Formats: sequence, structure tokens, C-alpha cells
Amino acid sequence: MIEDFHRILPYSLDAQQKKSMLISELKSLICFHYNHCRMYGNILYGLGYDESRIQRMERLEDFPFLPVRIFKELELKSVPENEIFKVMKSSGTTGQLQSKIFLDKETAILQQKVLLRLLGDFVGKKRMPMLVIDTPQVIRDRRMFTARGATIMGLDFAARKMVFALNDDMSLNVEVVRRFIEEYGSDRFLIFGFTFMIWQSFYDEIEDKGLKLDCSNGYLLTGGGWKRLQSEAVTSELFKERGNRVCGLIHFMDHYSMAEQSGCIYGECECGHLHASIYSDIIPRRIKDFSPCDIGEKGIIQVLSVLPKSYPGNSLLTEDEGMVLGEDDCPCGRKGKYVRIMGRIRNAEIRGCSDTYGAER
Amino acid sequence: MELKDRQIGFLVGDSEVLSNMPAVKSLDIFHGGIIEFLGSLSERLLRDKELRKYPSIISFAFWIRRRNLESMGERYKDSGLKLGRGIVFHITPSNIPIQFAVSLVYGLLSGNINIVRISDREFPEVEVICRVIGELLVEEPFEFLRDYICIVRYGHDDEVTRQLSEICDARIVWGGNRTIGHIRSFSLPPRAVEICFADRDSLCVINADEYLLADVKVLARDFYKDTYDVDQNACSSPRLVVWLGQRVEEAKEVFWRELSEKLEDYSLPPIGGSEKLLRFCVLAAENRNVTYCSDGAKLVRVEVDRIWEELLDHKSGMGYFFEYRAKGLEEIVPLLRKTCQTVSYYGVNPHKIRELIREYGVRGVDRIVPIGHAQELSLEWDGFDMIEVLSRRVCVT
Repeated sequence: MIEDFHRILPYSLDAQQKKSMLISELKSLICFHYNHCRMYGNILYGLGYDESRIQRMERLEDFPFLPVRIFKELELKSVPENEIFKVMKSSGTTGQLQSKIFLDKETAILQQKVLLRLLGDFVGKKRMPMLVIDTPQVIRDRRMFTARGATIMGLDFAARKMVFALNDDMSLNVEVVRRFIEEYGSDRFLIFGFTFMIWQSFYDEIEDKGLKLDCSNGYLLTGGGWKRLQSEAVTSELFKERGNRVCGLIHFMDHYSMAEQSGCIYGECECGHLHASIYSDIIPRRIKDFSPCDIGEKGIIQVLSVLPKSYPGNSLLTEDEGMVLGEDDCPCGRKGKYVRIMGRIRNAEIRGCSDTYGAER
Repeated sequence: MELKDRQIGFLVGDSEVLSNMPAVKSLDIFHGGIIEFLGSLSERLLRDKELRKYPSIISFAFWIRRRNLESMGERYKDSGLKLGRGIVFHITPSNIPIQFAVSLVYGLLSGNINIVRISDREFPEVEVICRVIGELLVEEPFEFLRDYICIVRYGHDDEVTRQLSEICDARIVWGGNRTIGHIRSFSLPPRAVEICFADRDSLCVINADEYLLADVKVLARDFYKDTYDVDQNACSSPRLVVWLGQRVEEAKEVFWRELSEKLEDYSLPPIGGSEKLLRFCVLAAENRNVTYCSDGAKLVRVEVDRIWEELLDHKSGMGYFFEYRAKGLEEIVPLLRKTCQTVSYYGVNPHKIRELIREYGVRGVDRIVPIGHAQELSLEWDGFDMIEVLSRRVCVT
């Protein structure tokens, strides 16, 4: 039962304990979806799984996974239409297809609850005001509702109040930011953004305009965007160092998350490691045969989560690459796997006949 | 033409050659000078040991050996006067580097003046071939051919595409249905012809009993050539294997095992495994009669217990095969729809397949070839005789 998880501190179980809880919860969830989502049932059947095989599973590695892009191709839900409370949509960086995640009240509330618990473990339990280094356009305009927008929406309930720091042209709205710091700066607050936007639209502008902002009480929460910065040779260390210099930032927390498993974030500890909580797990797999990687070996990330109840998203194969750095022994004291995410797998060009002109657009 | 201020990069030719093209004379098909030129190109490419690492260059070079060209020309010997239509505008694929050269050969052998647009993506194969063509064109016997070839790169400049379409007498679009749709919005002169190579799919028919008597290693190599050599992504790469005969289970086992052994060196694109799994999931979601069988992510087989027309719409590539056991050849008829290009076979009489096509009058299947020949270069492609289509016949009565 999911309630059992809520009674335990989110990073307190060692591998054995966590495994047995996850396995039993995943079994019942996957069987639930098998019986309540017709298409999911058919897929598992075609992959060679039935209820009894799922019930017999003894290892986390054995659970079948769906490619995360399936939510762009199919509308998968395990609850009746009238119980759908919200549809999370996002479009990735490739193509125009949107992924659709169907949430009922129960799953939506669960996601919020878990997000708060996990975030709380890093930044404290109290909900804080959040300064978002992005334009309100990113959630206002449905047509540009991207992964960026989805991530921000996912954090919405973790914030007491959400203030957007950028104008629509990506310039810093100095007035808004100044007022935010005046009002909330004396107590703990959150700043959220993608690293390259923080670098360009926050740090750069603070420096250019010679602004004096005291963000020493701020927790800078970032969610990816490192690729863009890496191309400009900005490392995580440099990023933090500059944040400290331009506005006094001390607290940094990167995280890994996705709309398809909202709530289960992988937060970065003070050692720079991303942590899996008791609610979820990560298994990098080898490209050549999907076998699980060893510790320290790079692979395609499979994510497991016990949150999805209204849609069959408990076990997904992402298109991100990463590796497990260790388990239960991070110096920060958190139990569970800690990982590094390298970003999207290279979309290697594929030989063969395809578009000669249009596809390159 | 006012293309001066447009960004066109010339790999062969220049803007002057391009603007003079409407005034250049058409040649006879299989013109002696063209045969000499292509034959010399073949020699240069084959002579360069460095190029051994590009199998597609080697097969291209073999295809245009002087001898081979002459024998290809035999067929057209007694057809009276046949001349190139004029300017051929080739829009060639971004992901098969050699195709631009094949297309150029079609245009030259049929006596035409050629503008070949290649994609911005850089391939060593493209650079090499263009360099050698450039070298030949400054040599005395081939100087006259300079007027006949421009190989160009330009971004997605629709204005250039529009203008080149306006002056051409034939346009060849190497597919992608989306590209064809887009290019078709640029109209052609009233007399011009167009050949579009649309998205196609292909399948393979094997008689299990015959197969078990054959050299299975050679067949594995041949099948690999038709499929993994091009990431199973060419129109002619089989997507489905249909088994006939009695000892099917036995044959299947040997066939896939032998193929797996060939896969050691195949490097699966990183996205390959999840792409194949995704395609299967989408198919399986609405179909209970499909079973996923994977021997490592490089080879995925999907067993189907019936055949229906849209099955191959769920194709993936990179080693993703549907597999079906048929009681008789007739069962494949629903798949021989418009999009079906090549049927490759082993141990099955090809004339029986051809008869099937005639009997049912199906819209698909342009080629029936033995396993291992699906990628073979030919003057006939997608049911078109390229020489016929790109030339015109002068009748004297």
C-alpha cells in the first residue's frame, strides 16, 4: 500500500528493504493496469506477460517497461473517463507529438504529496514562495506548452506562490524580481529555472544591469539544460560559483524529473549526486540488449515509480543516458541509489530512404 | 535565372554552367562520351585503395564499369533515335550518400543535362565522388561534359527549388512522402515529367524446406546485405519474412541464429532498441495476435498469426522483422498494395510470384529478386525504366 511508503522517511531504506516494498507495490500496480487499461494489457500480453508472471517477479529488473514516447502515440489510462481530473501534456524537443498523461484526483494528489516530501528533504518542509526564471508565457500559451512548461507546472504545488521573473522577450523583469526579494528575501525561498536560462537571463542581466540582489536565503532549484551550457564550457562548479558571486546564492539543487512520472524527482544532494527515493528507482540498461548496467556503467535509463495509478506509467524506458554511481553509501547519508544523468541519447542518423528535403527542416 | 544572390554551394560546376544549361544540347542515350566518362569514374574509384572502406562506393563503381554500361545499353540498341529530355533536376536523399551519384548516372545515360541537389549533411562518400568527377571534368576528353553536371547544395531555399523546377524538363524526387508533397507545390513546365520515389515497403518469402538444404551462412550474409547494411531502412529492405513449406519451425530457428551471428559487428543506433520496442507497443496495443521475440535489442522479431493490409505500416527498421507462417503464397496478396516495392525470395519460384501479381492485378510490387539483391543498383527502379522516362523518342515514319 502506498500509505506504507508515506510513513517512512523518503531516503531511509537500504537496498533490501526498499526492493521488497517496491516490488510488491509495483506488482499490484502493474496488475491493476493490466486489467484496467485495455491497450496496456494488450501490450504486456504481446510482450509475453500475464498476471501470474508479474506476480512471480522477484527482481526489479524483471518488470516490463514501456518506452516513454508511448504516451505521445497512445492515450493510455486505467480509470474511467469521468474520473480524469487533469491531462498533463508536454511536447518533447523532437516532433510535434504531445505526450498525454491522464491524472485522476488520487494520482494527482499523490504526486503533489510525494513531490513535497522529496523536496522537503532537501530544502525543508515548509512551502515557500518561488521565483521562476522563465516567462509566464511558457505556461500561458498552450501551443508552446513544452517540457519546460510541464516541469514548471509540476512544481506549481510545491510553491506557496509562484512569480515569473522574465518578460515575454526573455529579459529580466527587474521590478518584479526586486519586489520578490524585498518581500520574501529575508526568509527561505525557492528559485527555479533551467540552467542555461538562469545563466543568460538571470546572472547575465544582474551583472549587466549592476543589480544588487541578495539571494542567500534562496534555494536554486534547476532542472536540466546543462547541454546548452556545456557547449559554452560552463561546468556545474562554475555555475554555482557565479551564482554566488552575482547574487549571493549558497543553496543549489539540480534535479531530474519527467512529466510521465511527475512527483518522483531525483534531487541533487550536497555531494552533487541525484538521489532515488523510496518511491522510485532507476535502472540504466545497455543499448545492445537492454540488460541492466553495472554500477558506474552508462546506459539508457529505465525509471520505476509507484505513483502512477491512473495511467500505466510505473516502468518506463526513457531516452536519457546515465549511470548509477552507488547505492546506500552516499556521504550525504541518504539511502538508495544515487545517479548521474548525461542527457538525451544521441539521435544517431539512420541510414535508409527517408525524407530528402522536408525532414531536415 | 536570377540565382546570383542565393546561397548555392557548388560541389561540381558553377553558376555560369548552371545559367547556360537551357542552351546545352541533349545527347543520345548511352552516348559514347558518357560511357567513357562513367567508365573512367569507375576506374578511378576502384583504383583508390582508400575507398575500400566505403562498400557503397565500391558497388557503385562496379555498377558503372564500362563493360557493364555497354551491356545495359544493349537493350536500347534498336530503338531508333532517343535523346535526353533536357535538364533533369535531381533532389536526392539526405541519408543515403551514394544515391545522388546513382541519380546522376540515370540522368547522364539518358542523355540529359543535370542539376543534382544534395543535402547539407556531409558524407565522405559524397566528397570523394564529387572530387573525382571534378578531376575528370578538367581532363581533355571530358571537358565537353562540364556543361552537363552541376552538383549543388543549398539550404531549404524554396525559391531556389522553385526556379530550378521552372527550367527543368524532368524532376526526380528521392522520396520521403513529405518531401514529395512539399516539392510538388513548385510547379513544373507543362512538358516536364516528374518521377517521385515515395515511401515503400518490402517483404521476403522463403520456403523453409528449400532453405534447410541451402548454404545458410551465405543466405545469412545476403539477408544482412538487404537489411542491416542500410539499417533495414531502405525501401527495398524486407520488413516481413513469410515462411512457406513444412519444416518452418526448424528453418526459423536456423535462420535467425545464423543472422544473429552476423550481428556482432552491427552497431545498433542508440535509439534503435527503444524505437523498435515503441513500434511494437503501438501495434500490440490494438492487436492481440502479435508476439514480441527479441534476441538482444539488435534483432527483434514479431510473430503475427494473420496478415492484414496495414501490417507494414508498423515497420520500424534497425532489425525489426514481422514473421508469418503461410499455408500458401496467395496469403501475401493483401500486402501487395501500392506501397509494396520489392519481394525477395528464396526457394520460391519467382514466376509464381509474378503470376500472383498478374492474377490479382495488385497495385504494388515492382521487383522480385533473390535474397541478397534487394539493394542492387539498376536502371529500373520503382517500376520505372529510368532511361525510357528521362529520354524522348524521335519517330520517323
